[in-house]
Amino acid sequence: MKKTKTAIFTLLLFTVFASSIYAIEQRGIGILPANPREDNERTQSIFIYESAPGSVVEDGVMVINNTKETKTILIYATDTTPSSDGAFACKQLVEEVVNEGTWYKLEKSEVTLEPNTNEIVPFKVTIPEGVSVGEHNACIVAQEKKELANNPGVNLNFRSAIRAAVTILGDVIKKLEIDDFHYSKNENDKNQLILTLANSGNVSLDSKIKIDVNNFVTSKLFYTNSSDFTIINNNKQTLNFDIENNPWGGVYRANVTTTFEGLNGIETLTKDIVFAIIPSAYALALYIVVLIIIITAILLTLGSKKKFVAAVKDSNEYIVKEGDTFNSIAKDHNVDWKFLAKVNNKKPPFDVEVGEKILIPLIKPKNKEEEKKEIQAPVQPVAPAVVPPTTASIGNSSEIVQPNMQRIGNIPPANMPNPEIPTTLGQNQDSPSNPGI
Amino acid sequence: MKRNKTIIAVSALLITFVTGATSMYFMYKEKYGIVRSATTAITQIINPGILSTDVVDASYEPVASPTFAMTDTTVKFSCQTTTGTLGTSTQQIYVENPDAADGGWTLTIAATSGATAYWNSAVDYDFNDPDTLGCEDGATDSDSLGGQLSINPSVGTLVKATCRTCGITGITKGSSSAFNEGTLDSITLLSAAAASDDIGNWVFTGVGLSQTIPPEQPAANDYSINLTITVTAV
Repeated sequence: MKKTKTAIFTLLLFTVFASSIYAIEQRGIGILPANPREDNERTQSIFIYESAPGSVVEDGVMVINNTKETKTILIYATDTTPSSDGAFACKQLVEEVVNEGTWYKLEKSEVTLEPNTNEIVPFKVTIPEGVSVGEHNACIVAQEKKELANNPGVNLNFRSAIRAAVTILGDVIKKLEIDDFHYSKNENDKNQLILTLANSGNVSLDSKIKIDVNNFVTSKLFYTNSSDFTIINNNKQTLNFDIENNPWGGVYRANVTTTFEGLNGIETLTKDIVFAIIPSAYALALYIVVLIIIITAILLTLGSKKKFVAAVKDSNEYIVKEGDTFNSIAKDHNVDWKFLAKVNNKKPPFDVEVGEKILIPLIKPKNKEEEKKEIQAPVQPVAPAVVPPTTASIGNSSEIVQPNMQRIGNIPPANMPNPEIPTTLGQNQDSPSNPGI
Repeated sequence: MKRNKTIIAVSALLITFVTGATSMYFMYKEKYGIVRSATTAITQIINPGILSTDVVDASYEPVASPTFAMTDTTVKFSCQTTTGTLGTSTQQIYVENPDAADGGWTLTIAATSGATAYWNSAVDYDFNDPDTLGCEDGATDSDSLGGQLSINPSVGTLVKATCRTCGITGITKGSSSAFNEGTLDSITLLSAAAASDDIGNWVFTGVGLSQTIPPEQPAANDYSINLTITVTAV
């Protein structure tokens, strides 16, 4: 039964595999190296020769027509041309060949091929005397022979090319540097990490590039990329890595590590940068709202603290007498009991003892009803104020004594409650539950 | 056990017929990558896969004469800029690598007639003159025309085409660049790393085009230029 399952699984796997092969339909015209070397897999894709000045190499290029029509294909060698970002590119058919492209002599300049057929065109590579040590690049190109279109606008034509590299043996120089690594945002608001590698040696270098982007605060991995690019000798190549967008923005640390095979083994280059991704407009608006809330909260807290400090500083002392409760003291002095508790650092159950000194703040926070009354109150002529003594003694048993002030009489102030009337507990839900002595 | 084998055999035949992959299961690769069936009953020759590029429509069929128009404009006494887009939903830039370029590839664009090309009409203008950002003819180039074409691949959209398992990992888009005669005659659209998928096909759309036109350029409806896209195995 197990074998049956394995067999069915294998069949299914085959089906998927076969389907994926069918997904790529062969098309177009192009070329391949006709004689790839067994000792170098790369020669299946490009032409690679190691040779000495003055030598001649014979090889061939397979020209292929994978279209459904008979095609006449031009086949030619050209010089290279620096493309933007330092990528490898080949000169056009009409451009004069003056450099390494002249080393290649193809037996045919064009071939006519039936659909799905190919032909090998032999060629010779003649390496001039006195050529410098290192790598010399040219191109072998195939393109369809046809009249150029003349429609208004940009008319496109196509061709396929293969890099042909001749390395003159001698003192090879392998020198690769990270020339630049920075963050940028392109015209489409896409985040990019831009890496420029400079190969100042005399041979091309296959460099393995690893980029990791971590959140600067949380160190969480945000983006990673591993790739390997061939950096042509005496050339700077710029690579743009699109990184994911983060609408919430943030600060990130990007690390690039490049390894290549140097003269003394594997060499590693590394560089770190820190950059910030600007949040999207919506996220920014949300951040501003949150910031306003935080600032308001801070200001309120600071204001409350300031009021508290002022209250402690600008207060009278009241010495608790028998029969007082914390609530009664608050009511007697027209002070919110919570504020009074805060000023005196009282915690539940808000016990007070006879003789205990209670600070009575002179600055009293207004409750909302009072504020309302003040706003709604009609404006009346101001009568001459009867100023009660601010530092009067209150009866015989209760005293408000300001520091350094003498007792000046026994007349209780008009606004002071009769200390004989006990406060009824439970009248106010907000009152301390057991504020008795 | 015999019953199981029968089931497997019938399943295999069914799958084979459904996928039409009779010879695929028994293929081997010969020199040059030519693939032949090992069975004697059915033979098939498949040409080696080649690295190629083209412009295809929404069904991935090649477009015969792909042309991309720039925005219309009128004659002006000052320098002006027209824009366009290379690669649309009906004219997609297409790249195919059926295991032909394992070491990576580049996709570049240049004027078919080389550095001395220009926008052709009764009165021409240039595509690669950097003088005053393309507004005037510079002394550094060989012609007497002003005008400069910029191409911005970084704003383009690269997606896989019909391949099932391939992706765009390892393929980077080129930076925005302007043609500059003799200095920058080719602009990189894409660069594929060796680690990019060896078997895959991709379409690239939305590449930005921007052309500065010198002042008092005469009205005409037939300004044209030929550009060549090259895919190169590196």
